[in-house]
Amino acid sequence: MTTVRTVLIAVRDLRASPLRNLLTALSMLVGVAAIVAVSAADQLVVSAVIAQQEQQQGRASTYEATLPLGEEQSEDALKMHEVVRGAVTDADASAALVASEPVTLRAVDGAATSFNLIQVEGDLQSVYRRPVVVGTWPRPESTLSPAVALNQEAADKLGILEVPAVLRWEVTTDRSATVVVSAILTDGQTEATAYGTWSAIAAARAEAPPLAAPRLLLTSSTVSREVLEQVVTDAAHRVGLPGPIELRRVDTVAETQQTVATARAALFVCGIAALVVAVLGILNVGLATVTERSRELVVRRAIGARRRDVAAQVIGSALLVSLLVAAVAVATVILVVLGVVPRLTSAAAITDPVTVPWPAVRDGIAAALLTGLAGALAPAVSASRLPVADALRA
Amino acid sequence: MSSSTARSASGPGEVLVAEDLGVSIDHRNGSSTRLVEGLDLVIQSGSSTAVVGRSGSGKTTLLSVLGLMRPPSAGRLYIAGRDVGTLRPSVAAGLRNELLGFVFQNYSLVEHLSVFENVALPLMYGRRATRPQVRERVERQLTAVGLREFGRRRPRSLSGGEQQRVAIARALVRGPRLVLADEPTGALDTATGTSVMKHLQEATVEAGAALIVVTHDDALADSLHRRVDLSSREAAVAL
Ligand SMILES: Nc1ncnc2c1ncn2[C@@H]1O[C@H](COP(=O)(O)OP(=O)(O)OP(=O)(O)O)[C@@H](O)[C@H]1O
Ligand SMILES: [Mg+2]
Repeated sequence: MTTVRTVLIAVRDLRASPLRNLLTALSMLVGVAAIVAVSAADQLVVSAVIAQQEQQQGRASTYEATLPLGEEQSEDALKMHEVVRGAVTDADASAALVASEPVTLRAVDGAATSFNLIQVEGDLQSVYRRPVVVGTWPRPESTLSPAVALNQEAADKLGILEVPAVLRWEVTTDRSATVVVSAILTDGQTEATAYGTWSAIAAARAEAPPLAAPRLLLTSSTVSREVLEQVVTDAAHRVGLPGPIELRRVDTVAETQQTVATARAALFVCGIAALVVAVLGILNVGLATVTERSRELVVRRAIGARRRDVAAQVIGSALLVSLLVAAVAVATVILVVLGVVPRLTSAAAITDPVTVPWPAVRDGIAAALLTGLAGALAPAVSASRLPVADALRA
Repeated sequence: MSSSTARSASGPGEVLVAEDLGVSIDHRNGSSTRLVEGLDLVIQSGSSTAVVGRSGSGKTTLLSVLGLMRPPSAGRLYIAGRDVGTLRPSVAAGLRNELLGFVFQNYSLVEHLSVFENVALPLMYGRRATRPQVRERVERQLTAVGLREFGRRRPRSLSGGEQQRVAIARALVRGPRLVLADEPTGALDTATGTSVMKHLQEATVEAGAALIVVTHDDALADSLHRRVDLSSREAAVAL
């Protein structure tokens, strides 16, 4: 029998008991929706949570070393950073040197306010997920005046909406310098913070800045802590620091993924349980339907349907119902994801743009089809075993 | 009793040939009931045969053997020149579809399908027919039983006699060589039964097929070319 005829027979079969099919579909929908929700939430919520942690603590596998250097040894810190960067650029790793100090900034016609200034050398954007909302991350020599980036808090405090903007930095009580704001970024910090490169800050100050408690940050998803520790220790030796230097893992991505895996497993089990209940219901109804329709089925056998045709009819109509359920579930996911989620997240979202979670769509379709199939197999077998000679016994 | 020379094919015009046919029912406890023994039967195309006998004599069971729904317990059976004594179920289904038409006592139409779809049902199985072919054949058969305008109706909305005429149209839509009917008028009053029987005979002759009807109705049996009486132990064929 051709596929076209099998489909046609299955489609016409849906008319046999529309209400029953609807109820079957609803009972399936509960389980399928649970699976789709678990799968979609997994992708959307988890990626949002992890993105936030990457913003605050660092991307997956970020290590930190506090360098045992005094304020006067800023040259050593920079040198160490340079050596480390040179060693890891070929490997899949990023490094940055950071130190912070309180500073006083004011808008051209505004009041002076205190900020936290983070001095940055290296690739901080690869260490944290701190996307630039407007402008570009300060590059050395990109502007005539030294450039800084502000976080949202700092930009709000200074009333800056657009970049580039000009600020005064009160370096000492009797001296100030002009700096250009080249970017506003979201860093998830509540403290008003400015970011500047070490060279830019030195230029603004007109002297090498002290690096108070400089920290070296290293991020790599592939290179092990031991290797990175060795690199840092070697760099320390180059500047005459006694080794070994220990790295601390600072990001929380791994722990979060662990927690999420547990929650996901629990939700998944609930979804499967709902599907199993649905399968039992479908089996129950399916077997009853075959008994009820045995007259029709044996008449079909008498006029030429083979056992496999009758089985295909039962399975085909079940799969059609499954496909309808899957379509409803998938349409709902797409509507929610593309219609509702963007409205709930702010424009300055740190997560990647929301896209249709195709794995959730795939899981939904698979769950629906498997449920339909599991519920239809036994009825199909019992339908195909009906004795054809019964056709003559009304 | 059995002919020693196995025939490879039946003669021209012979739709069904049974030689020394035995029909018995195997019970679960291992015993079996012999219903028909040593039946020799030749059915010519265009002929009509009544199968009669008291209740429980095995008429329906014989019909299920002739209708390839159950294998004979003994003897040989040929339909359209083909040995159909032992067949795989799927082959039997294919032959039922291609060579045979069935009219059942009652309740044999599919409730959720339209009259048109019911008549087209045999075309959903077996050899493929194109949509225009399906339309053409179904309409021809519905016209033959006087139900041309009924295609879109549901069986439930038809009278018993009309439903049976739809069943006749369905039995003939594939162009069968042999039509088998078990008490086709059993659920109808006499006048309706007579009219349905007239339709069945005329349509079968028109289609060039042979007809075998199981019936309790003596008058009906008399109106057919001959009868097979299962009441006696040895099946008697009266011409
Ligand atoms: N599947 C079966 N299992 C056991 N006995 C059966 C089975 N099918 C038929 N029989 C028996 O075989 C005998 C013949 O049955 P069958 O239905 O062929 O009779 P019939 O001649 O058609 O009777 P009626 O005129 O009442 O329809 C009956 O005694 C019946 O009980
Ligand atoms: Mg009977």
